[in-house]
Amino acid sequence: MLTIDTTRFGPLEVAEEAVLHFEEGLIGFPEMRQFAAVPHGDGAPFVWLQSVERADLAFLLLRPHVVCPGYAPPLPPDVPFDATLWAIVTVPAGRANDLTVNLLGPVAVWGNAARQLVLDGDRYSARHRAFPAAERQQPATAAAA
Amino acid sequence: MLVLTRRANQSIRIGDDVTITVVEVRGDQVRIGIEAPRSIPVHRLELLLQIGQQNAEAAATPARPDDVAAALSLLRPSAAVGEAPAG
Repeated sequence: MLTIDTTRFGPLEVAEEAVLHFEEGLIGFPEMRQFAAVPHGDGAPFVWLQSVERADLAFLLLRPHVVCPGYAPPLPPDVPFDATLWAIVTVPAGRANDLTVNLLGPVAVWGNAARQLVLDGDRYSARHRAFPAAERQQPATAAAA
Repeated sequence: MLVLTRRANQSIRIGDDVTITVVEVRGDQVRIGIEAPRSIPVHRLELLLQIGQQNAEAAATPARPDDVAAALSLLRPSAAVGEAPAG
């Protein structure tokens, strides 16, 4: 077991074989190469990607098809076809309604290897809104309380 | 920045194993061919910058637990649809 110092979770025990290795780091974070995947509660579609190297660096991930049905971009030739894709989520403080998902740069995971991809063309956005305007007007959210 | 003038079908070699070729010049567009080993990622710069910027923003705004809970309640309906067996 590996104990990681984290800001969000406190000391976190992770099996060494459960650590994901990003050979190229994350885009813009080339030195961040090891992350632990921490599920967010039971049955939630979220996973946290907690940096092993930097306590305060944790990304929230979501399976892209949850907000973009049919999401199945072509993968680079050196990524296995059955790699699992995740998308990095940005949640502005106090505005869960404005949550965006990075569909342009998904994180591909296969075994213990992981890589952030750069998809070609203009089909997918780096700031895909999870909740279109109509849904955002529904009152039954914690934000309304 | 090193600036070189090239015509269509002329190339530039970078290092030992990267070759850039001007394939076609038409109006304000240039088609460029790139030969490089697979180990060297080649991307359109603006896409790389967009993703890097989004990563930086996500890293700088750690999701608050109450916001994640709110997002979950908003997601539940669509997540359920996504998991329903087809047909």
